[in-house]
Amino acid sequence: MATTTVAPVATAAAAPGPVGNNRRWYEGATAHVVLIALLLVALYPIVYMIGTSFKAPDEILNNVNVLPRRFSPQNYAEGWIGIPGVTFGTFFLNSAVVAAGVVIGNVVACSLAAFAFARLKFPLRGFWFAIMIGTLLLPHHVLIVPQYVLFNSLEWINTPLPLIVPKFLATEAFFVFLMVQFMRGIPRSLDEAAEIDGCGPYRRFLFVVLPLTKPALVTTAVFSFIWTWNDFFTQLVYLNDLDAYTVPIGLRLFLDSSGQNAIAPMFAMSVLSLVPVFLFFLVFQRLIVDGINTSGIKG
Amino acid sequence: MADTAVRPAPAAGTTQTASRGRPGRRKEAVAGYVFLSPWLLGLFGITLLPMLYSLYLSFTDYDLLQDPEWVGLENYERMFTGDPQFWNAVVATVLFAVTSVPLKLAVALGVALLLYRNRRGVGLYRSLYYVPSLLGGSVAIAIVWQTLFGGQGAINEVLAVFGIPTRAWINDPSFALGTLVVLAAWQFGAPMVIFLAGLKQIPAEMFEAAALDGAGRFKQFWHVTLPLLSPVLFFNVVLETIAGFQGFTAAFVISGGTGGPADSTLLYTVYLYLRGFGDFQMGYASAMAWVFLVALGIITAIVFRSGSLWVHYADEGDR
Amino acid sequence: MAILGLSRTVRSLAAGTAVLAVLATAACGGGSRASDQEAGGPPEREQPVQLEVTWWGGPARAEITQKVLDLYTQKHPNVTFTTQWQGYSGYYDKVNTSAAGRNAADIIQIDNRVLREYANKGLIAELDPWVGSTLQLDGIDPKLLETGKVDGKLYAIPLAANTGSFVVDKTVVEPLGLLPPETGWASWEEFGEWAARVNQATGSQPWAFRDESATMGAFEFWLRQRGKELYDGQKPGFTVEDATAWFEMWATFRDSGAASPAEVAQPANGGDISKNTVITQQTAGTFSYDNQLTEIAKGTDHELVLVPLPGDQSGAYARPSQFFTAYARGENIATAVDVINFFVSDPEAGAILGTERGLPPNKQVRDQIAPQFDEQLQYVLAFDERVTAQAGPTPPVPAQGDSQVTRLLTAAAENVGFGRQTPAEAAEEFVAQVTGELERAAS
Repeated sequence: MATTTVAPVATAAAAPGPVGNNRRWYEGATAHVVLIALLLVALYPIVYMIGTSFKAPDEILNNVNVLPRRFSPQNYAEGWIGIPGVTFGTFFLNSAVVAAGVVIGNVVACSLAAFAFARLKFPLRGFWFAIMIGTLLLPHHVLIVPQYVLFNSLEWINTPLPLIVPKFLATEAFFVFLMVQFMRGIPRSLDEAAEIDGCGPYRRFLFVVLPLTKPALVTTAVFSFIWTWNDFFTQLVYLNDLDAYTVPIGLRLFLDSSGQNAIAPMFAMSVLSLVPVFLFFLVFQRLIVDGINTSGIKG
Repeated sequence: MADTAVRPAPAAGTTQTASRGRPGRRKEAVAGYVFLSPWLLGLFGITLLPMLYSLYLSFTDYDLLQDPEWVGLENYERMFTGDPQFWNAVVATVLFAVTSVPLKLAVALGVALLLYRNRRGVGLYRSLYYVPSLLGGSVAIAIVWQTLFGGQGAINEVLAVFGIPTRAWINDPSFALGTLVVLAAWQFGAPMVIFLAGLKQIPAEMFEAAALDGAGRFKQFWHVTLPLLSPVLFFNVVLETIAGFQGFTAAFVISGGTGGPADSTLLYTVYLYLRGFGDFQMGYASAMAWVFLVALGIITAIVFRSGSLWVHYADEGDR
Repeated sequence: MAILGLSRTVRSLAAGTAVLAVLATAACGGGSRASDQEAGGPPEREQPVQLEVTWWGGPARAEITQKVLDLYTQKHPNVTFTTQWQGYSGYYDKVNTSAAGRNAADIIQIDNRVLREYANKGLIAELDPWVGSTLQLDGIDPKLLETGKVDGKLYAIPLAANTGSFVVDKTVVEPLGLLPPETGWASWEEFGEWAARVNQATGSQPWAFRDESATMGAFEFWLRQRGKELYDGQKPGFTVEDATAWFEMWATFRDSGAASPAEVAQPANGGDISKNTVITQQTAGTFSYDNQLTEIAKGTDHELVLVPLPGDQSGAYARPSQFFTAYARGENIATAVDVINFFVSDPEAGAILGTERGLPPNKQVRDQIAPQFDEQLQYVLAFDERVTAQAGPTPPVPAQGDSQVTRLLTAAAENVGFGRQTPAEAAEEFVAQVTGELERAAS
């Protein structure tokens, strides 16, 4: 890409040090230019979305600039109540309920399972671990029909339960794996010492390992939140009632049913829908990046 | 099967410990299963038994309203011989995966290499480049994409600058899938972060040695960087391939839930959804799900097998 | 908080402990929760009843439907409503999934595309027991009422009637001196010539007419002009030759500029009003059911006119634009039926509903409220009466599997429109697939 193989012949007479510096500076500048240009391309859709969300309705089709000609923040107010009979407040509340449930479920259930895999010896551990890794690769679309039948017969449709309860059963193998990796790195001597003090496995989990696993727990919580907030498929399947809609489903309703002059309000709601995820990212940036590194989680 | 391969980061291998007293061991075994019980309940109740149930359903005609009716292999037969849309879905999915995965990884690797060489501001760049990955899977971005690449979309204005003829990208069957590929590749942040971490683990002496040998940039990349990075690359290939075959949200939202135009964005998962939850054909959808599972299993196995041909593990003692 | 009905949650959690057992018995279906409701019984007037109503449509429809429901609550305070609505695409996915969950809405808006399927599957209740008591249907045109019957039994009450039309953007074509006559064009060829002239005059900005080759309503009209129907029982009522001729006709229109390229037409193929090409001002004309004029007019500041489809009007018929049906497992079917009756027989409700869904099906209501209609509604009413006066016989209820056929027509038309298949190839595949789908749907 940026193959800057220009040999600095002209400055060859100078001392070796400056040459290297010079060349590095030159290369660095080129790379920065390329990086910034790429960044503009990469962020363009997001900037475009934000810009459009502030455009007046009649600008949508004839102003392709990123910036609005007339700054129209009322799009946000219009979008908020854009769907008769319900406001986006309901959707946000529903999304928050689901996300909170999922976060708690994943943190609790996955840490339990991970502790067993990482710290306890029991028959068939290797076997179960292999199966756990296997479920990591299982496409969840395979399960959607039978799970729907199951939750349907439990009368869970249109409630957040089908989205939350499975998480309390540690079905998110990614996080189990992440925590196993993390717990394996905690020095054994710590819980051996605790064991000598007479601590059983349960107290060792609660008082020794769990506190030390905090970074992995937070990573799990953050990713659980982001994934759930962005999730569309399962919410689409299980939530049919306008009052039970989460933000992504509500947005799609907007897309289907609104006229041309609702595009700006729709963009406004799109922007709003991404704000929580973005805030999480800002606060937990470091953890997210480290989380990706330690477990290979994809965002 | 993927026990060791799925872990790029070094896992501390201290799982073996000294044997303990008998009563302690039994107590620990019981505790192990206590800790594992939610997971086991989930494994059987929410994963394995439903899978078996869907296997059964795949041999039935089931509309959720009336009881399943055994039809033997009819669903499978119909899928392979009597349903052109099924093949449209297969073609769209394969096309999507084999184009989006390499493109995404190429961009990710390219940016990672640039970032690696320029440590100044790397943290900021890394975070900003990650933003598309963070938001890309959402309905909101799918909506933006639909507008950007529509007939009256802003992309046309941008392309016009380069003399590229305007068209309704998402509404033309020759290009609709392409816009989805671009959307997928745009979310290159996650593999980029992983590449970056991998690059940092390559000892600097390696490059110095290569430079002393007079290797050019390209040679250096080809003979030093790439082989040393291959485990990380492999890991990314596995993850992205699995994800690539399962794309749903963007295709569904952008095509208005149809997989159109002319089935060109009818990804397998979208078709599965339409058959199951649009047409009420749960038996057929289950059969599709099982074919998907088997196919994905085979593809994953092939990727893993191919790994032994091109993945170079340095000595195992890395840390 | 609506998402977490507490008692429901507790109940569900209790049920959750039986996960495995239930899974084993899930195959046996939900059991026969014998309805303790008497078919034909009176609506509830004392106990509180909450009914859920679902429909597809845009915000305008949501607003007036809500108003009518509020009016009903005002008259019968024990009955309250919750509502679900969305655009047409994906609407039936939602109804199906909620029906599968045995918690579909009590009152479900459908069109005739799924009527047979829903009736056969026992999803919607047979309404005959209420006719004459709760349901007062005397004012409804018997021909229209017939469209709500499956095998002689009444399942669906037409909420409104409409008929196919071409909506033309007057603001664009009038200055060109190309405003089509009120009676439309004598033939499809003449229409094609007119549209080509418009397109020449506008320089394709906008295109003269939307490519309607994927539009079921237009295809059906055209078939009926040829003496065919969409369905012959559970088989296609047309041949490969018919389909080929249809696709070829539109190919010719596209070539002459009379019809827009497929890429302009494609977004609206899903049926969402927001993608309507007259609203987006990409074309000066498009197919639309006449009642939709209200909704389309809301989306554009241009003046619009309705023109009959080309040729003789034997292809037209008074089409039930939408039905209301009662969910067979509803909380209180008798009350739901009373609400449905309120929508079609109450003059006050009729006045609110106007022609947004289509013309009021009840002649008495229509005559009573027509004078209060605004100019636009009067216009739609006059157009509809003019066209349906010349209409052909009402076709039978569409075959089961009609929704798949719609999808197949769209795919076939898109394949031709984007040059991936010749009209003949697409037609052959289309007819074969339709035959297969219909066979399967009936088995």
